[in-house]
Amino acid sequence: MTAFVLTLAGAALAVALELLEAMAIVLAVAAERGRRDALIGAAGAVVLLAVAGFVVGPVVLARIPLGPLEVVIGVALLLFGLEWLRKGVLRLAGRRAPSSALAEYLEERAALHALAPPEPGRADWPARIVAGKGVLLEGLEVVLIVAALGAGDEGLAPALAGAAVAVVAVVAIGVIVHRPLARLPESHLKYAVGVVLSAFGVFFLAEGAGVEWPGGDIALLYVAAALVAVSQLQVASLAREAPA
Amino acid sequence: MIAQLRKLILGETWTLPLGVAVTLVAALALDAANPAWWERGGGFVLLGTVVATLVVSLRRPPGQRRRRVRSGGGEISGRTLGRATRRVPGGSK
Repeated sequence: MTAFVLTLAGAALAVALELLEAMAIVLAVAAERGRRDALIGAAGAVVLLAVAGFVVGPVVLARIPLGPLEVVIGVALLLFGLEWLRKGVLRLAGRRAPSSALAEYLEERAALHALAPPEPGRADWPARIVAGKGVLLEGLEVVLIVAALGAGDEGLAPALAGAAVAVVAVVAIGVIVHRPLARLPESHLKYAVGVVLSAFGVFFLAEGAGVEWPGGDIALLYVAAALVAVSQLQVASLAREAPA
Repeated sequence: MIAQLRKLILGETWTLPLGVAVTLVAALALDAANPAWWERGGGFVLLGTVVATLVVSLRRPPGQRRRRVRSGGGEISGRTLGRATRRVPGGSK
């Protein structure tokens, strides 16, 4: 049950934050260059992501035996989780600009504004490429995180349910941007995702390497608690060092 | 695009992939050396190496402590951050 709830929550948060960033780029392209080209670029990326999801899930992960599979997904989750956690600590300590999809939206609009518009009647390839690349890069992380979380003992159900919740939430936000976007505590949410993904990474890597965790799935909670404790000490320490 | 993919998978610093690689090698070596002990205590060893990796990745060399590293979402020195927050009311919370 612990693993199910944490998988669902971790997948929902990670997918929501990545989709939010992808949506910021697509909305910027739509606002600056036209909705049609933004949607064509995004749709092209979604097709490529579907292929990537098929290759990573049913083709690659499904063929690896359980022990080595847990090691592979443990390593993958640690690579993603520790990076999110590192950035989260730096943001909370004031050592890195806060995460903001709204700022990304405004920056993307400014960058697109500087590009020459296409001739009338011709396809706007720069706009399509910007939208497609944004969706592809953010979406690839979503595919890898959901596939890794879904490869655990609980199966794909909690990871997919979390992803579905995230899609609904992000689309709802998309309908009523800007102000709600500015209010989201993105830095804190990303820090939380870092803790959850890293905890799953340690848990799966250990299980794949033959470890029996005291308490079974409950280990996820004390591993996550240890990561929160250490990372909060780092936030306090870095925040004290920050002023010149 | 390739640089962004590398950054997406391996992150912004080599410390994390190297730390994860060391963790993996340590796990396999300790499991081979003493499987019975590893089965009971190995999880805490892994947690320790992961925590150490995180702490090391957050430390910068002393020479870089006061230097502005990168703009556009990169790391910020205390002095730069101080200037920015003085200019923007309520900025950099």
